[in-house]
Amino acid sequence: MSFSRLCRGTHFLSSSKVSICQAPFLSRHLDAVGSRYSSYIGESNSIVSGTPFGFNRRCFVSKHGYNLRIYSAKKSHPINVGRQYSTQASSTERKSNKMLFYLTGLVFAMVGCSYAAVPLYRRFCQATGYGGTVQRRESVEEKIARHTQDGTVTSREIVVQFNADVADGMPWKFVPTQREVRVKPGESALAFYTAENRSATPITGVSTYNVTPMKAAVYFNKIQCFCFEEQRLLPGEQIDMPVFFYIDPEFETDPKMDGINNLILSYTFFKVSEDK
Amino acid sequence: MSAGGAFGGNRGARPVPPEKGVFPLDHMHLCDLEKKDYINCLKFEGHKSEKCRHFSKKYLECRMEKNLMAKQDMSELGFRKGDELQFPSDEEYSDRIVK
Repeated sequence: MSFSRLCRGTHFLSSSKVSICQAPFLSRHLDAVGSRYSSYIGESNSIVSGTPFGFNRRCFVSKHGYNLRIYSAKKSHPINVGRQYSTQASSTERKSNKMLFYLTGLVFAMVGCSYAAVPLYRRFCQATGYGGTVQRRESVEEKIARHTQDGTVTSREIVVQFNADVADGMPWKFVPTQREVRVKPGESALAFYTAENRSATPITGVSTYNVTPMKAAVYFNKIQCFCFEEQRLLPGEQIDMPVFFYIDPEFETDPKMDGINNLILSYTFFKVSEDK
Repeated sequence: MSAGGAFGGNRGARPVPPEKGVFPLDHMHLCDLEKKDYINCLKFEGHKSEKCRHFSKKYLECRMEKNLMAKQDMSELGFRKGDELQFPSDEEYSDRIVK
């Protein structure tokens, strides 16, 4: 398709296209010039689609074969022309191969970039704090030590409410032992949850947590809790699960946290396995 | 910039595991008394954490004793020395529990 467009673009080339394939005789000048142009077209064609080139090639042969005959009559350089023809074809092949490798490489590079973008962006955000990402380099103990040293005094009282959920099909009773805790930022606080296995078989569960509102979650640090690890309860066993947490004093100075005085810490237990 | 919540918000964020890891469960109910003390204190003090800090300190100390928690200096966990002296009469609370 592009070949025909190319040909339509230049009147000369279209005429040469016709002349290449049909006329057995041509003026030598037209041949010499036309051969150069058609070789260019043939080259570009090889990249776009296979068959026109193949079609051209056959014509090439006839034309060059004709040329060969002419040249052998006029000048004795049959080998040169033959070599020229073979190198021309292989050079176009090499060029098209190179193009193929380059393009495939480009595709893979693009796909690789899109995969690499996720962790790279996250690292960038952590390094620059862009978009409010909190640098999680400092451990809680270091933070506590730093604030005790600075002598930061906090005045705002925050109410932390507790919520407990159990996944479907999990026969545990899971409730917070206290409904809420009033704590000031910078004070480590302890809270309890009670879980009871109401079934007749030992069940293993794992829990995950959530803090709402989400933008306050960056200031909520859990020093120690019972989440993310499998906990096994025997049938009928009731157990207390503590959570030891700490709200960053920087919570008070952050203007985004102005209207937030309530935090909800929510735990959900999922069933991992049941021993029978 | 509140872009943190705008562009799919928490999509990239994963729940962060606790700093010191997981509390081993108290299957033998070894620190139950301390826990009950703390819970009752919260109830009486209107759930104010700072007033019951010494109880939470006691609970954590109990856990450390019974090998349910890694031993660590209390000041590192945010408990200052003044907490012990605030409420000298802990028996008050235990009496209330008994009644």
